[in-house]
Amino acid sequence: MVDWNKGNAAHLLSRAGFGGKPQEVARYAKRTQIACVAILLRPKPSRAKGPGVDDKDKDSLIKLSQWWAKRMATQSSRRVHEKMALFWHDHFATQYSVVKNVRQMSLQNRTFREFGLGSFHNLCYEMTRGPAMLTFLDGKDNKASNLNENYGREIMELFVLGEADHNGVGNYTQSDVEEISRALTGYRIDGDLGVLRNSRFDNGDKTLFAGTSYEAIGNLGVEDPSGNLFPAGTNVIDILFTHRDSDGALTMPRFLGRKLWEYFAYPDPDIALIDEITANFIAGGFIIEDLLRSIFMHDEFYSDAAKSSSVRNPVEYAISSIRALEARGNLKELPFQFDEMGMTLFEPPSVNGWPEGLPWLSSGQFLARLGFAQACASGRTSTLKLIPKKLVPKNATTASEVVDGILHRLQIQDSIPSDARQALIDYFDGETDFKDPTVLETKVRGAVALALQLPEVQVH
Amino acid sequence: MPRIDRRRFLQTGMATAAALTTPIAFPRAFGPRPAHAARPMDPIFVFVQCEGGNDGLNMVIPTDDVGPVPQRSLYDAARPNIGVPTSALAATQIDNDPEKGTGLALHPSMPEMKGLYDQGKVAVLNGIGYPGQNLSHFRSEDFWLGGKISGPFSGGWLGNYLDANYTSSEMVALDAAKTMSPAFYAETANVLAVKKISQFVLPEDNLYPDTVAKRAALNAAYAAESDPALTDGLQLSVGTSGNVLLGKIDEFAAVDTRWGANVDNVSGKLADRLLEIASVIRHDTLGVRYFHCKLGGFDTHTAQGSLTGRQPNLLASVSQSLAAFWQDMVDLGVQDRVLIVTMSEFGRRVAENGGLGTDHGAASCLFAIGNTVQGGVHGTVPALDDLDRGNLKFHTDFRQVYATVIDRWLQSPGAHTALLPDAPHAMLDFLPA
Repeated sequence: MVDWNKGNAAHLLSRAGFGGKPQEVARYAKRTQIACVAILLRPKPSRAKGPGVDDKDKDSLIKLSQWWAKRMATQSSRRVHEKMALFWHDHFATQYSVVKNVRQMSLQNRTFREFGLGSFHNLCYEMTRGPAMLTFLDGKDNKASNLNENYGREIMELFVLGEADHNGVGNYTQSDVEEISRALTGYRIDGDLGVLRNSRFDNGDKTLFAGTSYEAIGNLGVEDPSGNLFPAGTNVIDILFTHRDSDGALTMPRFLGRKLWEYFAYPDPDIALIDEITANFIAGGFIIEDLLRSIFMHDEFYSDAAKSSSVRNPVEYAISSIRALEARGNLKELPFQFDEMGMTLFEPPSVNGWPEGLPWLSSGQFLARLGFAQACASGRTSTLKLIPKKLVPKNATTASEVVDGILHRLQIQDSIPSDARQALIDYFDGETDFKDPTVLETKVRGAVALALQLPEVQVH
Repeated sequence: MPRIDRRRFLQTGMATAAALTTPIAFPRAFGPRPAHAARPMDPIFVFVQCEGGNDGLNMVIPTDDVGPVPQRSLYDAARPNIGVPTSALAATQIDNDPEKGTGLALHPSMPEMKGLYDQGKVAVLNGIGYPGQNLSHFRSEDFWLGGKISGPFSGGWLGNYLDANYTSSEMVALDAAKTMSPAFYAETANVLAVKKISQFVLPEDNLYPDTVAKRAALNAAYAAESDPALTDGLQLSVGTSGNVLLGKIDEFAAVDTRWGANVDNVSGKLADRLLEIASVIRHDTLGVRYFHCKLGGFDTHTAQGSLTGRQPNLLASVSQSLAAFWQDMVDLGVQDRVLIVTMSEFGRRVAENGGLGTDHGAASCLFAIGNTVQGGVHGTVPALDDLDRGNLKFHTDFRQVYATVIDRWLQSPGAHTALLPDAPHAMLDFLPA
């Protein structure tokens, strides 16, 4: 067990959620690690369904994006669910520009929220028959008379297995792509659901993973026209879950475990670590919450290697800044700011999701972050309001006290180089009257902008 | 959600870096130098990506059955709905297939490209691919952008070239995109990636601007953040690239954006990106010489279209945008210095699918455009009666295109052998020796 302290509590809140204000960090630090993880993973039930949106109304996509952005920025009890909704949106990446239907995007977003911590099988099933995905990857055009391999390939490559295992051995062949595509034929979109039509389904025998110990032969599929699931032996989602790596271990738990570890902790984990964190996930029948618990309870999650090892994505950067500085407002600009910084909600760049890591800080996006920092610091409207007086420690008489207060809020007091801290202090140019409105409006807000522009805030 | 962190990059990049150690010094002596140095040519390279897998067979189309393989009849049989009828191809006819003798035409939506072709400015390179074609967009894109077809991604082929030829304080490459292309991923080189040069400014608080003091503080902070004695890890990476960028802001603020009267008249994303590139090329003293931009949407699994539709629209955009951009280069008087090469991660299945589209395929064709290129058709269109799982077989490795660009265009003779290890290095004749 790690020493439970403010640093670790802040790390957990930043990774599992979108950060927190100082009092929140202090509150989590006072609990035990087990209690913190339990509270985050098992909040009270919620029935969030999203705003009522009409089909094909561009304004509504904006409303949907604003609604979600605000939830991510303000949710406290269900912050992990919102974080996971964002993860799944990146994993099962679907573009509005192709789907062209706000309602379908909204339904998919709701699915991420409702199923995001539950059974991975259920989530894969909901994705497979979800109208947004049926449109995006052409599942609705995949029929017995004419195959379309788009979804069949991506469910194996990007959603469940990965292209190759950790030894570089390929997980499937082109023949598997064709066979699984046959098994996925037959869907049409009927209202809010994908429904199977027998006339379009390929009822012939298919062979998946021919010649392996987990080879499956028979009339493989997902569900019948009445919505009854195919039994495990012929259900392609189950069959995908039985796929094994070249060393005999199950492929899917490693694939998903690695991806979640890299999302929450650090890149390139040892295979032994992945096998450790997926043990409960496998034993419990692939419940995502079990995998998250194993990650958040692992000592390695709190190691130096995991801290400041990952570039915050634009949503994480913006929202953790807003939360730490206790900025308020209707936050309606947020989706547009995410877009400027390279992360347009409901518009990932491809089915492969957003490129993670340093590409987030490509020069244009880096400049957009400097812009966000300034916009956040100079927030004076009902859209975003930041109160500089609140950020000045009581009875502060020196610039260094004010600067340190801001650095503490952003949890970067230990990682900032002293010369950079000094540059922020020098910026005050000798001003010490922190009750003077001009000093508050100019220097304190200016120091907030500068602090948010530092490299330490771009990573966590 | 591919993840690129410096740590992973350093690990996977090690082998390449080691292989580069010896030749680095030597191409630098002959290769591009800082703008102030006199050089004979000062080449500019524009790499244009057609993302999603461009259907080459509907871009360069067989028009008859002349030759050993009845290409046109096989084409008609495979594509009853999305095939382009010969009656529509007369105006965009180009030279015959150099081996088979088959008649060839560009898609009718590309009259501007045909115009450039007739001027001898366009080399059509057929049968381009690589062994063991990977049908995943992302792996195949990694291969194409990284310049290698096995092992983990270890930097972009252009990024590795920049590392070998420029210092980390120079900024000689621009990706006209929000997110930098993996083609430019590098160990030390700095690449500018912005969608619009006009976004390249520092924001200010309109009510209480404190511009000078704030800028001074930001510069001082980033000077510290880029000092390896003071910080490390990911923060240092961010600090270092941020510091270089802050140093370039004022220089780029001087760029007259929206320059390029011709390309400005073309609508669409590709033209918008090329307009930014034209503006930066015009501002020659910036010394930016390497450019990338892309147009997405080529993954035409459904409703690909024959004469009109998704792919024809995209091809029209490529044709109009590149021809207009080329005219801007001519107007600017830099036409001898500019080479444009297009690419896509793969071609598409020869037979159309049930959705009036095509699934992922293998070999395809690309364009090289410039004053120096040997205009015409290079390489035969792969035989339609000799397919690999329904896909065209490649005969020329895409890395030979890169090798030829590095050796003959970027004037780094021999450098391609280290930059493209394990690749076939035989030069192609679309650029003169």
